[in-house]
Amino acid sequence: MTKVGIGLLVTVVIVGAGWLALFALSGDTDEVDGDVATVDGVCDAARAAGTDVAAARDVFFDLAHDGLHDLADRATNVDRTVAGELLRDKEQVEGLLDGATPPEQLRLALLHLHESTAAAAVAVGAPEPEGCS
Amino acid sequence: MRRVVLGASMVLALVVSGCSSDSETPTTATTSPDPASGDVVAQVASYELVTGRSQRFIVGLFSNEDGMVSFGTADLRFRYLGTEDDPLDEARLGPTVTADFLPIPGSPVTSEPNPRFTSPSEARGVYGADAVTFDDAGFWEVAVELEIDGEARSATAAFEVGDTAHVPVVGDLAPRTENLLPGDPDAPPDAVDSRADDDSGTVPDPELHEETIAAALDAGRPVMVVVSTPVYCVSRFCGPITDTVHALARSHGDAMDFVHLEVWRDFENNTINKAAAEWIWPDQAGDPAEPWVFLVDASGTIVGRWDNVATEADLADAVDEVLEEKP
Repeated sequence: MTKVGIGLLVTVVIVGAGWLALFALSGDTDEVDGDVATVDGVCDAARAAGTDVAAARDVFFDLAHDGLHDLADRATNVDRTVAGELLRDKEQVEGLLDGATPPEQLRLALLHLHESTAAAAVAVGAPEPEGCS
Repeated sequence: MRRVVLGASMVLALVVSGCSSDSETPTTATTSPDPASGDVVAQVASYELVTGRSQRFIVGLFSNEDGMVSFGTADLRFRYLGTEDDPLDEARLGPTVTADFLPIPGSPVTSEPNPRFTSPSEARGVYGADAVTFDDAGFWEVAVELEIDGEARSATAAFEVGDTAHVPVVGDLAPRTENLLPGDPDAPPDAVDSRADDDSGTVPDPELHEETIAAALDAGRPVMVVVSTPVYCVSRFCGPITDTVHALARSHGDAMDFVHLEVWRDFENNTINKAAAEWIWPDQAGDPAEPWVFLVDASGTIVGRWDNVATEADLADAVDEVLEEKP
């Protein structure tokens, strides 16, 4: 093989490896969209919790709950510490949704969950989400 | 069914099973690789289906556009597709059954006569049929048919039926498990129950952590065993099913025993509790799934087994039945 040929082969291998690495890190498009929606759903629930715990409960279950389980499932394959943090924060929120919780306490728990959800989403390939306030 | 279609079904089934290479590990699948947004999608929710046994089959239905399908009944028609090595040219018709909606415990609305789309905050559940028997191991397809708002809807899903069970089945003797109890110096509190308080070791459901399964068997008392991880659950239904068994422990704890086996000894280090493994991962084949509920009679024989989803009524009825039979 000529030097030019070897150079082309090396280039192809490097580009190919880079593409594969990028593909592996970026995740499936539908999953990324779903993870972004889940992160946003937790933030929406936090905003609702500021005034109405019952409304926050509905937002949480309609926009975030199932997505959190899906995200946690995939995050366990990448970083179990991040996945564990997400699941503990989710359990904390669910415990507060069940009872007569002061709205501010629920809001703070949801903001905490938003942070761990964002971290898990990034771990599985989603872009860095915006903050929630 | 043409081989190419069977091949696609098999590929899909393996993909959605988490790329497990263990062909004996049962799998679930959805309707098609890329359903249109308004289509109803079926997802088999059974964890382990084996040939030659009368067993429960559960399937979840949803639409990416309209939400979950809840309430009423759905008709299930099964077809055998063959095995990976020997796919059938034409799928062979199997059983046809009617499946009832099984609400997840805690759902605000649990029953209506007809199927309709619901939001998760309104109702959640699966469709289940008891006493389904698959006469061959390999790949099967379920066609789900139901009517939603006057419109006939259908979905299909492929799944795998194994030739042997990996998780204890009805008729087996219960494992004589020496599960961890609160205060056990051998384990951190969250190995007893993932919801335990780290400092005090207090568990939210002490009635489920009073007795070992071995002690219940030695005493000849029926025992209901829930294997779940309420905090580290990725299947969505661990918390509700554990709470349901806890409620039964409070109402029937004087007549029989109820035990919660926490799945994880150390979630972050991927270490499963030995006691849980004896029930849901005895041969360590594939990945363990949770939650599971088992009912053991006074003779130590497993008389009930529920994977993933169980309604309050199902478990309560089974408890009443085993107590009626108690000598």
